[in-house]
Amino acid sequence: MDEDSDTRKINSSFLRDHNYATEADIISTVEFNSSGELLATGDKGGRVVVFQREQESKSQPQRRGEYNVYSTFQSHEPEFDYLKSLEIEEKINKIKWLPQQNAAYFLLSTNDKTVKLWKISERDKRPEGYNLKDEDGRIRDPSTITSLRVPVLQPMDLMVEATARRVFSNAHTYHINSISVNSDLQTFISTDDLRVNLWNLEITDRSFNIVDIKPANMEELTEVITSAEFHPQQCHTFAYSSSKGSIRLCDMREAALCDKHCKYFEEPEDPSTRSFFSEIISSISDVKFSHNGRYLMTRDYLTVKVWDLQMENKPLETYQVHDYLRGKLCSLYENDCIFDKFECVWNGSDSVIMTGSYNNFFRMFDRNTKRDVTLEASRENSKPRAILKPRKVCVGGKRRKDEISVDSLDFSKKILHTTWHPHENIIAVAATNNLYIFQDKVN
Amino acid sequence: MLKSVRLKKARTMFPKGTKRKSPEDEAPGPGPLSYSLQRQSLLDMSLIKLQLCHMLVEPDLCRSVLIANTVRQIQEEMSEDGTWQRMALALAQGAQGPQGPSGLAPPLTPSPERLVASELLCRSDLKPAPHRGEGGLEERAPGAPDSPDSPYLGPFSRWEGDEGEEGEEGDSEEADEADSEDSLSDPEEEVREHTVFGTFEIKPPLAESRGPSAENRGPSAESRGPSVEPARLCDIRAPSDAALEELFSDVDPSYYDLDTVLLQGPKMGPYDLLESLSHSPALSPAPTANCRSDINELDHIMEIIVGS
Repeated sequence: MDEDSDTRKINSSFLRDHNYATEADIISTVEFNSSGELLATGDKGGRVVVFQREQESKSQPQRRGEYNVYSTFQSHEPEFDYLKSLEIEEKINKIKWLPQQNAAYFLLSTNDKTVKLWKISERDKRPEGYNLKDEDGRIRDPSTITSLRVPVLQPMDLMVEATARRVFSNAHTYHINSISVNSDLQTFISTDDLRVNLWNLEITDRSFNIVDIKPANMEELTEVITSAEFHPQQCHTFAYSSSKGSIRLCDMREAALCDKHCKYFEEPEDPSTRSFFSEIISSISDVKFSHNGRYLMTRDYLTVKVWDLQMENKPLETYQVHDYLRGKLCSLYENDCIFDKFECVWNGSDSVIMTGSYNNFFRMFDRNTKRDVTLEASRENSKPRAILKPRKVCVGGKRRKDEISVDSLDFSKKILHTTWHPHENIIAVAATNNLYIFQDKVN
Repeated sequence: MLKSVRLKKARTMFPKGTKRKSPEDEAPGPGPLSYSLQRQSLLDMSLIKLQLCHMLVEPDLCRSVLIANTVRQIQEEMSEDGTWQRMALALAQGAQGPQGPSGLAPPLTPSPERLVASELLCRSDLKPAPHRGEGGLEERAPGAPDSPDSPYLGPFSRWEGDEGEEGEEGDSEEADEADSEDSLSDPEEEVREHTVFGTFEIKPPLAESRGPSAENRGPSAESRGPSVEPARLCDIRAPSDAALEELFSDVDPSYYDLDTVLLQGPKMGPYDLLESLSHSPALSPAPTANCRSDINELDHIMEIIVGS
């Protein structure tokens, strides 16, 4: 990839397509499907909204396909655990698409306790000409029927229906933080704070526990699982990250219970930067395999790291997301921001990685050129079709024009969830209750 | 959902008029005085965070584990440099003496009650059971230092009751349940004696000027600063999110001030630190009138929540 195209990609040449305000509900997850045709968002109210990219029109080739609402459905409802006297939130924690195998689309959505498989299908024809009922649905008197006819399918207005095909419940005592579909397309894992369970997509009343880190005495608990993902090609391999900053790679062929890892990734702590917050900021909030399956990316509070699966003792690359927060950790601990769980995402070719930050900023790092850019997702700062301007946070005393000082950052505006189109340079960024979709500029 | 709870107690952490010994008299610590203060405030903050979890929705286990680990780290470091032992000593002295304002304790520990909160919550096998008079707390000598590395207990008993095979899980769950009902009436007894649990009594030395908290826990003559409200709220099973938001909406959002001040480092002497804190508009103890109106407002909100 030559220099120019790299520049174009990350140096502010992103157009903004639409700004969708999703009914004042906070978006809790975003995910493109494997073709990029669909984009799903889940929100705190338990709803899933699916956007579909419109077909590119021949008459206006420069106008790229835009995303419009395709389907909206209530995935999860709030529940009450009577045993513990606690509410079970309906917030959608994760959505994962299944690769498309027929005309219908399938996705898994999960809240804290239950995973559901949803089928989204189109209906654009309906049968007409029944014998025993008339067009309004009223039963016809059989004595008035003198001839038989064959019902025919007539076109109708497109209707998109979502139906829950499977409900995978009662397998998690703790809160589910991630789900991951296996490359075998038959199984998936659901992960909570202490356990990873393996399911077959067809079987809802049984799951296998493959990782269990719950100590015999809960009071000795010092580490939890924060995320887990299947390897994109090897159906027997998965990785899970912990609150202590380590990643374990497990092979399901070794044993039924994968408590013993086959690879253990951890970077030794730098003693010069040690503080009481060292452990908290080392907690990994997201782990993602690269599309080619050779690398792992992890996000902790201040950095994104790329690991080579062949090298366990240190990451291949480390990128500083917002190092200027290092001196503010005490405040961020006090207001709980230090526990924010940011996600990270690869682009389709694994050359650029992206993650969110505060003040509605999000960051992209080009792994080849080592250049990075900070962009902002906000209505005030960008108009539709305008090119995003790179932002800069000023850390020193002298603040230049257009720079923003660390103390002016809005910590309530955080970008935790982002997703990248599998093939093209289209990204979706969730900023609280707004969804931003950015596309690469077409010259 | 409960968001940032500012350190309202920060106003009371370094109150006006507290006598401080000069650094020379201070027992050797790992660094300048401000480091120890910072560490202590971090410990208190962490303990409060662990308590403020009894909401409608099950709290985040990851967050609680991280906070508990931080508490353990601080505790270990304090044990290593002897601070912990000194605190325990002061606690023992303070417990026998009148429950009065600070000034008697050695530096770093302006209030014996605060010692109690910190020390007890870091103790091993601290179960809610004592509320039911099983005497767990009373039997134990207030000497955490003998077991500084005993596992920190408290927040995780809430996540027990998994498959239900362990008996103690059930107990701690029950105790947890009972705790929520009893806590409204029991704690003042315990505070009167020497212990605090679940309420984090970080008694402000300006207690007299604040006036009694209207939401009485019985006849306790002690006043509670607003800092106690959050902990108690947790035990009420159905506070609405909106009401809680309202409750904390007036909490001071100037957490950056705390950061700046505490991390000023060795440039500041102990008196400077105190001065700057008391002069900082955000952190200085509010005038009496403001406190009263704060408390009245809180009372009003509490009434709404409790539905009286």
